[in-house]
Amino acid sequence: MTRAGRILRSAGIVFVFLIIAFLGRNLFRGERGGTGTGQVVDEGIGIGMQAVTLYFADPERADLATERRDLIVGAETSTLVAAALEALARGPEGRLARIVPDGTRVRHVFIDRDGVVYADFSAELSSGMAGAGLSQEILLLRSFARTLSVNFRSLKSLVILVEGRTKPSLGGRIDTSQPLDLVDWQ
Amino acid sequence: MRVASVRILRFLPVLAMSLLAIVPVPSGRAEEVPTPGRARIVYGDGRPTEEVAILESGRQVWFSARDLSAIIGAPRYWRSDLKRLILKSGAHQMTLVADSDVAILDATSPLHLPAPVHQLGDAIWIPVEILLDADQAPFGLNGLDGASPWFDLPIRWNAGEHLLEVGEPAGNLEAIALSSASPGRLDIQVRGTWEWRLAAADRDRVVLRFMGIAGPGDSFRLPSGNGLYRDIRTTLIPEGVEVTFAVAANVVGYRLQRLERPGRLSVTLSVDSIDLASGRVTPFASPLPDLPTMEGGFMPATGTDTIVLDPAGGGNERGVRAKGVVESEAMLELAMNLARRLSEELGVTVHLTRDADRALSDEQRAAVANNVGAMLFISLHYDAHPSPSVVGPRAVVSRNRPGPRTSVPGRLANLGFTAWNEGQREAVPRAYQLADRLVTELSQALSVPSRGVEEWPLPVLSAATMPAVYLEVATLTAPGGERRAKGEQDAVINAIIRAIDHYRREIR
Repeated sequence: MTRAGRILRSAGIVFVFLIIAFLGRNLFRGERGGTGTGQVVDEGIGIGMQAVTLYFADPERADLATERRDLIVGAETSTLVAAALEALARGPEGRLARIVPDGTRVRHVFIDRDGVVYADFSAELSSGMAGAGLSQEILLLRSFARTLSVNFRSLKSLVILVEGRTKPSLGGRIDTSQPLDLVDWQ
Repeated sequence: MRVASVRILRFLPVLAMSLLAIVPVPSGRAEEVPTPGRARIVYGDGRPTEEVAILESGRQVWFSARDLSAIIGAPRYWRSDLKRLILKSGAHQMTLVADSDVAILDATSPLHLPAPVHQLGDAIWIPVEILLDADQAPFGLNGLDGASPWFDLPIRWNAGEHLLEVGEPAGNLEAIALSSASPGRLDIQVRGTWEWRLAAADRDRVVLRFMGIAGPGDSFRLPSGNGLYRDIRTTLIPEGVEVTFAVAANVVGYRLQRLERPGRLSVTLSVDSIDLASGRVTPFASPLPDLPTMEGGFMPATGTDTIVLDPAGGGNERGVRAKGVVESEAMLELAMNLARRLSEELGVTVHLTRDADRALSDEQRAAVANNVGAMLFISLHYDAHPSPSVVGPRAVVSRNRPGPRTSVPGRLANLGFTAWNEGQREAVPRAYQLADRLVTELSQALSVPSRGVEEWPLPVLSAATMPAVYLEVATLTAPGGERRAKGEQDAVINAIIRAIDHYRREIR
C-alpha cells in the first residue's frame, strides 16, 4: 500500500469512529439529563433511561410532592409522556399517596404540533373516582398537569380521554370536556 | 433535414400516447378536465364557515386530501401507535397513510382508494361522490385494527349551494327575537316543515315545543329584553326543540299566532287587563307543580329575595362516603333545615334543586336557579382529601374562561345570545364576596381554619346567572369530620345564615 493509501485508510477509520461517536451521543442523549425539577425533554431521540419528576399526593400536607423515577423510554416524546403517565397510574414507591385510581392503564398518547397531549386512559380512571371529593379531582388533574409541564416544557395542554372519548367530568365535579391548560392547572 | 422531420412526425402519435399514459386523470372521466372552484364547509356544531378549493368536472366534485383530513378531524384524533387510518363510508373504503406519527396527511402521503382519485401536481384530490353515495351515513374513522372506533361523523354534499355539511345539522330554528316594534312580542322563526304545541303556560314557565326541527347543539339564553320575558332558553329534546321562558309578575295573559313565509310563531304578552277581559289574550294557568319546591308549604314568600340551595348528589350520585356519612343524604337534610331557617329568620324565599333522593344534572341545577330568578345560588357539599391535615371549610367560585366569549352560531349571534355555560361570567365578583363571607363564618363557628376561596371550572356553577358558590361545609376524611357533619349542623346553619345576612346588607 502506498503512503497516500495508508493515509486515506487512517482517515477513513477516524471518520468511521467519529460517525459512531456522533450516533452514540445522540442515541443515548436521554441519559445525560440533569437533576432537579427543571429538566426539559423536548425531543425524544434515542432509546435509554430518562429521569422524570412525578407528582403524587403528600399525606402530611394538603398538596402534591415529588418523586424521581428513571424510566426506560423509546424514541418518541409521546412514548416518554405515556411512560410518565403510566408511572403516575402505578402509584408512588415511597411515602407519598396514590392519586390515579387503582387499575388505571394508559391506552394511547398522541401529541399534536401545537403541544396538545391527547392521553387515552382505561375506564378505571373515571369509575375509580366515584365517591371522590372535589379535592381528589383537583389533585388528580394537577398531578397530570404538573408532571407534564415540568418534564416536557413544549407541551401546552392536555385532553383526557377515557376509552377513546372525552368525559364531561371524571368524578362528576370538574369539567374535563375541554383541554386542560397545563399552566393553569399547576 | 426533411427526412428527419418526417421520421419525427411519424413517431408523434406514439409520443403523444406515451405522454397521455403517464399523466394521471380521473378514471372513467378521462374526457373531462376538472376546473378549480370554491366550496364552503358548514359545521353543524357551530364552528365558523370555511371556504376551501375544490375541483369540479360535471357532477363530480373533488376535495383535497389535506382539506378532507382536516374536515373529518383526523389530526385531532390520530393515534400515535397507528400509521394508517381507514375511512369507511358505505361500501367505500379509503386508507390514509401518514409519513410520520405527527403529520397526519400531506400532499405527498401515499393514498389508496378503490374509487377515482385525481392527482394534480403534488396535490391529491378525493372525490366527494363517495360521500354522496353514503346518503348521510356516518363517515367512520377507525384505527387500523378496526377495534377502536373514535367517532362517526355525518357528512353531506349539498351540490346546489356548494356546501359540504359536516356533523349534525345546526338546525332550522333560525332566530328567536324580541320585537322592537311591538312591545311584548317574541318571534320564534323556523324554516322548513314544522309543528308546534304549547306544553305548559304558567307565569313561572311557558314551554313551547317545536316538533320535527333541529336546533343549535347547546342551550342559549336571550337577554331579558323588554322586561316581560325572563330566562328565554332553547333546549334540544328528542322530538325537536323546546323554547322556555318565564314572565314578569304584571303580565296578565298571552296570545300565540302561527305565521308562514317566513315560518314564525309569535308570542304576545299583555299587561293590560282590558286585553284579558276582551279575550284578546289567554290567562296563565296556576303555577306548575314540576319546579322543585319545598314540601309542606312552610316557606311563605314573605320577602322579595330568592335563594336556591343545591344539595349535592342524589340518585346514584351519592358523593363522598366516609365514616358512615353519605354526602348526598347529609346535604339534603342540611339543605332542608337551612331553607326553613333562612325563610323564618331572613324572610327570603328559598327553593331547593331537589327535595328528595333523585338525580339531577349540573345543568338542571343551574336551570332551577335561573328559572326562579334567584339572587343567590349555593351548592352544598362535603369534601374528602388524602391528607388528614385538611380540615376546614372551603368555597369555590366559577373560574372565568380566558379570552372572548364562546361564539354563538348563525343569526343567533346577532340577537344577543350567550352560550349557556357562560352565565356565571359576570357574577363571579359578587360570588367571591359571598364565598369569602361563608368560609369566614363557618371557620369561626366550627373553630377550624378556613381553606379559603378557590376558582375551579365547575359545571354546576358556570350556567347560573346569579352569584353562585360551591360550598364545602366540612372535610369528612379529617379527624372529627363526622362530628362536624352530624353533630354540629345547627352551628353550620347559623354560620351560613349569618354569612348570607351579612352579604345582603353589604350589597345594598
